[in-house]
Amino acid sequence: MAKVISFINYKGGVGKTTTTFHVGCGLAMFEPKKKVLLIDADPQTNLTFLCADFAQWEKQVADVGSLETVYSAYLKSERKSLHDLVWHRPMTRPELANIDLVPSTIELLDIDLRLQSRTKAATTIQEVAQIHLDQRSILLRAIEEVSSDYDYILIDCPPNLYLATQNALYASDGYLVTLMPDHFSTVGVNFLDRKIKQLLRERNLSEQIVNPASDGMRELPYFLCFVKVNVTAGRMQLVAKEQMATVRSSALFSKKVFESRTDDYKDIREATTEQLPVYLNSPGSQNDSLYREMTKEFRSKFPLS
Amino acid sequence: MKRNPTSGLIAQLNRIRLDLDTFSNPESRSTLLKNLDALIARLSALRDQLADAPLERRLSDIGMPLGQVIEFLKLAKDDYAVAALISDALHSREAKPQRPPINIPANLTNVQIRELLAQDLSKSEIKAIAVQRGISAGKRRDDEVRRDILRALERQEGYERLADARA
Repeated sequence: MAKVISFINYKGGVGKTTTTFHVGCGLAMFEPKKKVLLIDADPQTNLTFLCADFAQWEKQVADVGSLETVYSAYLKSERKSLHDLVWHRPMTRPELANIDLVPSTIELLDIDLRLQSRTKAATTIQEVAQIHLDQRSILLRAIEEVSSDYDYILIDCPPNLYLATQNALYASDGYLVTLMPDHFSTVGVNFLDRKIKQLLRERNLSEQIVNPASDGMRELPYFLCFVKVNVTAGRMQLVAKEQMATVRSSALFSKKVFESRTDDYKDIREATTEQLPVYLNSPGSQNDSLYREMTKEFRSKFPLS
Repeated sequence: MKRNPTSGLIAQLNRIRLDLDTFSNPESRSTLLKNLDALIARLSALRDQLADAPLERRLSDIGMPLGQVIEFLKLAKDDYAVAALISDALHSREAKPQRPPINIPANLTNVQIRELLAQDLSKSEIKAIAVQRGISAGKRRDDEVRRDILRALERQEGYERLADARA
């Protein structure tokens, strides 16, 4: 069974997509090479466009579908197998042959509203708990169908904590929070931690109500990683240094922060434009080695069982 | 980065004042003391001015008192009485017992840092604490670094309260 990891932060622009892409490519490219499925759960479709160009994506969505197809099927009380939606080898470079993709579309933008509007009336607490779990387990059920085909399944979440993200969380064996070393991100990561723990408590409670024999204390392993660290003339800026130390030394996150991090060098932006990971677009560059380190640490923090 | 030209000057003047303070030992000769006290007062006033006045005025006002200091030191260098005093003062400084250095362990908690900062720490000890919290000590004064460390602790505790579900 694959290890499913969500890349989460309700803040935008904090490197979720870039990190999902690079860790995914790193897992697939470097020994021991792993079979990776990338799931783009963000309607901004950025992960999808890192893996494929516009014309290919249009054809794929028209002919096969996207992640939104899974949710639409649920809304119509149908089932659509993720097997049928996986885009095999969307990237042509042979080094990236181990990567598959479930693409996104802009239609995912209002999926939360559509799911919410379909909420049935409930008369008992058991029904409320069941509906709560059903609405948040759509992606889990879809992933279970393809889980045995992969080593890692990485989900790039949208910058919010609505139902689509909660679906990703419920389907995950762990999650990674990407953050930048600045004041607002540090404020955000503390709020995020509180909110995610609350969501998981709600899940555990619902599971216990629906199935009193279940172990209601399930927690998800999670880690934080710093990305886009401000570096000027080869030296990390003082604010970044201080913010990183603040998070690393805090009681809450002291054992949760990746040692590795990535910088805001232009090599990442150049690679993104070329729709390639830095490993292939600018080998030997700063973020090439930094993302290799991060991939290595990802393997050790989220080991395959 | 440009250095503040007055900070070095103030430090030098402070050092001179400290040296001159040693002469205000009660056992020193009264005449010399009077002169020194006056000099100290002038230098202290100058230091205060340096801290407040605009740069141009500070620079124009520095010349004369500095000239006086230099003249005094030239005379003092060959003065037998002053030499004796300096010698005594140096001996008394050497005799002052030095406290053993405080070991700064890694991964200090906020409580431990606060306890340490309540003590009279050396520059290197304060710096060792600052480094743990990603704070650059640079050439800043100890009290500034100490203040930044405490500020970082408060901010961190504030962040943690945001994560507290009971809040």
